Amino acid sequence: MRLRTEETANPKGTSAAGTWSAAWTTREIVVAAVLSVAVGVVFWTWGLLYATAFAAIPFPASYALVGVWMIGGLLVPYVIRRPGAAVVGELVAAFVSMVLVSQWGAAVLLSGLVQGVAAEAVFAGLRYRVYSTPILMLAGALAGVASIVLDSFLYGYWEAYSIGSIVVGAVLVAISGALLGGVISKLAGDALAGTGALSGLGISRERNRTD
Amino acid sequence: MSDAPRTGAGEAAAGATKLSGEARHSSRTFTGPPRIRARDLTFRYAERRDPALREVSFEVAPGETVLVLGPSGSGKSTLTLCLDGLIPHVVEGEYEGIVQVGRLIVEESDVPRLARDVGLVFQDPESQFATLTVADEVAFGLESLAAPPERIAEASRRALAAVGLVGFDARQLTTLSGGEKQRVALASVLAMGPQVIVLDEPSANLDPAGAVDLFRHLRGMARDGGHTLIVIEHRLDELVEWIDSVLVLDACGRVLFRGDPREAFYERSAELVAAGVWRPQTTELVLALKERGWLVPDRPLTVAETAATLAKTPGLLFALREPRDPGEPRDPGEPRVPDEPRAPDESAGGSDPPEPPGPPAIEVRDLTYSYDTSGSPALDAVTLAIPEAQVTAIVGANGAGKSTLAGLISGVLPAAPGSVFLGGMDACSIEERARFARVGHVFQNPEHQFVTGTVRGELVFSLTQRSSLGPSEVAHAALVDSWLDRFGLSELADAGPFTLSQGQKRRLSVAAMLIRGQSVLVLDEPTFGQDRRQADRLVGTLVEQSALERRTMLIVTHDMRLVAEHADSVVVLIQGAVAFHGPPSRLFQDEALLRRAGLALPAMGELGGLLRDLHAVENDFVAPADLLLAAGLPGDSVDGANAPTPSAATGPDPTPPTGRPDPSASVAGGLRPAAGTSAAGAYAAPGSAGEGSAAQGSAAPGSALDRYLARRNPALKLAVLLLVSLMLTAVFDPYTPAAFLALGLVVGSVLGGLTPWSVARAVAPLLVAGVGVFVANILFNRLNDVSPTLLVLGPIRVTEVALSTAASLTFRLLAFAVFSVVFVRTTDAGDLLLSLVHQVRLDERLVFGTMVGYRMLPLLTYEYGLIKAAHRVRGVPKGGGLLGATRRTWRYAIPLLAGAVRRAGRVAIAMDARAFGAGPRTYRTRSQVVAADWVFLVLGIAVPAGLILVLRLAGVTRFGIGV
Repeated sequence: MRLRTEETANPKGTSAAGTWSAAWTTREIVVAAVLSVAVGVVFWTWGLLYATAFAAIPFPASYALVGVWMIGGLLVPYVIRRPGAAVVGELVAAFVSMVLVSQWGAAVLLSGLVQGVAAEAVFAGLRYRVYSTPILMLAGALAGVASIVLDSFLYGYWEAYSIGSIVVGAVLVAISGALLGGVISKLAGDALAGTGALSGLGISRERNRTD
Repeated sequence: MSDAPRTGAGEAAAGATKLSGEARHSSRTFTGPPRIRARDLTFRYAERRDPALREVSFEVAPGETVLVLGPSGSGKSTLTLCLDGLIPHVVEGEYEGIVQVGRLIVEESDVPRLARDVGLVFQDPESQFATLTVADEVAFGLESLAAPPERIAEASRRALAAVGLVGFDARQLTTLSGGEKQRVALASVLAMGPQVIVLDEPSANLDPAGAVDLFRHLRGMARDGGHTLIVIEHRLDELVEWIDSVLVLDACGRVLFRGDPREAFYERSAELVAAGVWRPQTTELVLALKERGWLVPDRPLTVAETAATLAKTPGLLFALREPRDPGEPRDPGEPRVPDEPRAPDESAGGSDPPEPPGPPAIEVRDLTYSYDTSGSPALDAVTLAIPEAQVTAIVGANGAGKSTLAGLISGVLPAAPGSVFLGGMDACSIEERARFARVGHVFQNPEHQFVTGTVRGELVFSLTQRSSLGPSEVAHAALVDSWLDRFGLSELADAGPFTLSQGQKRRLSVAAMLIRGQSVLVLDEPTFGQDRRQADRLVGTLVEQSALERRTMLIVTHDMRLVAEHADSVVVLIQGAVAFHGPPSRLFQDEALLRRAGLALPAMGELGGLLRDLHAVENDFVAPADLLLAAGLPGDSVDGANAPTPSAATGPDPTPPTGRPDPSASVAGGLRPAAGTSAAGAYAAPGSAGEGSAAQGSAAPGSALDRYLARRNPALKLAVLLLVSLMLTAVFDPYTPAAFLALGLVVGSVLGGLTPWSVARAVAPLLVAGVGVFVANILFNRLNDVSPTLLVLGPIRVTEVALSTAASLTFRLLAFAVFSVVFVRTTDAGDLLLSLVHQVRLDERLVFGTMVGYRMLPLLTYEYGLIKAAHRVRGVPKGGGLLGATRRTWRYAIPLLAGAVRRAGRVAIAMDARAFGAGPRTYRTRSQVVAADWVFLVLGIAVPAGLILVLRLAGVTRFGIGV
């Protein structure tokens, strides 16, 4: 008997040679997309709360809440563990939240891209091998900082506010990205894996190895 | 297609000698090399301990139709994946043996190559579609194989014609009925021109009418012999007429039998029963007759054959012809129930069973219910009285309002005061916790109701709800143990509920509900997805337990066998109205009503009709036991006499044609699905709470999707949207973004057909967000120190620069949002994704994955509502402030996501089976960029830029706040 491992299981039948997604199986792509869509709904809901219930919280304190918007770029790579997963997760989630009529309009696509790339950089830097809690928190923090840099441009912070307040915002969003983004993604990924639904995906391969 | 010679006598015999004993199967023979050959196939999934298939060997001839049978977990579905190479190429595990399809050895061929020869159709249409429209779905496989567009068009046309869906090309998949959806799935496979088609319980999610619809086409395909068909099915009575042979797997994944159906169902019958396999009702009847000494000739399978055989059985017809009091219909299924309700006349509604002493357990008075204000009501003036301690079945076609009625009775859906009474009390006057302590509701998907981490925990949770005591494990332990034992869950006590098999999950959800001791229990499709033995055991335990505790049971089901065997009375709903309420035997005698209700006549009823035509008998039959009784034999002692009816084991209501809106309907048309907004609805399908899901169907003339903006290339439109947004980021005076805001409203109105009011309403919540922007500027604007003060509020100074900047940034937000709303509402999701592939060159696999995720969005919202309701029934406490709400949301989210991920896995399999990702795709149609699009792009940049330039020259526009 031959045990099919990660490498041999990668279907020769489903490889799209020459594209970044060649390494992904169809299931990984579809599961990543579905998770991203679900995260997109979370983004949208959070956006509603942010614009209403939390509206009175002014800049820069409001950035303590922004970490939730990093989840797509953290949960999806944590579950799938393939190159590109952070960008895909964050960008598709942003796309969905735009489609659900986000108050930030098409700007969310840019935010999704920038935040996804920032998180991706952390995972890529570790050659897509480490997905521990500290690394998820680091990726969340970096994505958060990237988001405030972009927002400063999109929403005019650099012009309107003092540099000190923007730095405070950056610190807050880094903490928020680590906790509301990184830790929540970790908990959600582990809870999902506990249901058995993620068997065969990167996260449960890793769990099996360490068990 | 079929290159092997085959005797044509089979068809002729089947057509001509309709009433001979063994019409077809014995006369149809196959020669030539086998189409499929499996040798010692063993497969074990990577994360399981035991193999799913063990040393499976069999052959299938070209043009042969094989029925695959086996209990749950016998590896039937695994076998289907082995035939088209998804095992071993995509699904991980240990693989041994050889499978050959034609000349291809599965293990050595790649999946796209195999996909040309073997097509797969799955159980749930919602879990196999990859696109949004019929034409796209049918073209999907050939596009994956990079076929030229002309060939795709031709093959699609033929495939749709073959399944009787000519002219359906442009339809959105969400607008189809269940039967139509499965025919589209079949067409999408046929278009690829496979020699072998494998169908894995294709009728499981269809209502009886939908199943008949699908089977009619499958029968034609089986008869013409052009394809080799491998069918896994439970509805044997409808299938036996057109299958050539059977393959039976046992619970361990071994081949139990391979060969002639007559031999399987007659000579090997005992083994099949022991293995928990469904048998045709006709064979159960004939075997029971033979057992009782009747000399029944032949081994009939179909209803027609059986009628002919019974006519030839010496003395049987004579026994059946015995005169009988015509005023007293036989109710052999009923003798257990002394006080059964009398059958009312079928004019329905006003006909109630006789009042038992005391108030009825459940009373429904003139109950009307609509999910949305515009649509037709899901329930229409329903009046019912259900006596205590009875088992009542609710039946009807998908969308007839069965689940709605059940939900209103249990309190999962809100009924108006004075319409639902429990034990004589208005249900609305009972506080929610007290109500769910009296009425339990077992949802169709057991996962929805799990609220703890272990099997034992589920039961303990319910017990703590029962008594007002805390979770004192000591006192409850013995009780919990006995329940675990009764439901066969003892060994799994510490396992996670989500890790159980489907049958175990169902048992757990029922046990966890029952242990709470409600006096009324509502069950939604309790036998769905279970094999014969599991279904029997579960329903048996339930009915037994409930009879002991005088529990009133209300069962929503398509399973006519369950109705025939266990129901004291049955309620038939047609389009939200009660069409019948009375004993099951009465219902089964009324063919016209059954047809009107979209219910299939059980095989025994059909048999009774044929015998009547032969002037043999006067009466009708519901179950084999009836005929036995008619022949003067004790009917209720027949071993498994009440065989599965044609409508056994049917599925959920994913696509109600009327009344309840389709859960996924809102994806159709405009980019904006109505998800999210309806997440709060308990039971209502998504879209029902959003705006006009029905109106989004297709680009009706005059709608937003027919206007100038809607016809522009989506990618270029997106580019314009981004550019306009970026231009705004340079501006810091209040007037320029306000002008853009107005421009957006005008463009949306003139070019997009969107009223400014509807757009404004969509962005209105942002006005609240504007407050935060003002506060931030008053506190932190960097020029507050040098700007003139307008107002002093205590310690806070409101400056001129703070106000003007805040106004500018708020208008900027609003303008972003307005342009975004206009874009979203004038763009079709499918078009946008296609355009992103063709114009932006995004990765096609990612884009198709996103399309699948997007299709699932309304379903996610729908399921979220279901889970929420299911947890309320379990007694999960409300309140608890922000922390409580967060914890609840988390509890809903995990089962929701787990279900979505599982579904995603099934869709991925269905996509792989159609060669997805084989290489660069071709496309049925290409997203075009025409001259008008370029003009739009230029104007889309020039007009806003010009606006800024003019306002700048007029001294209005400022590019910073410090000027």
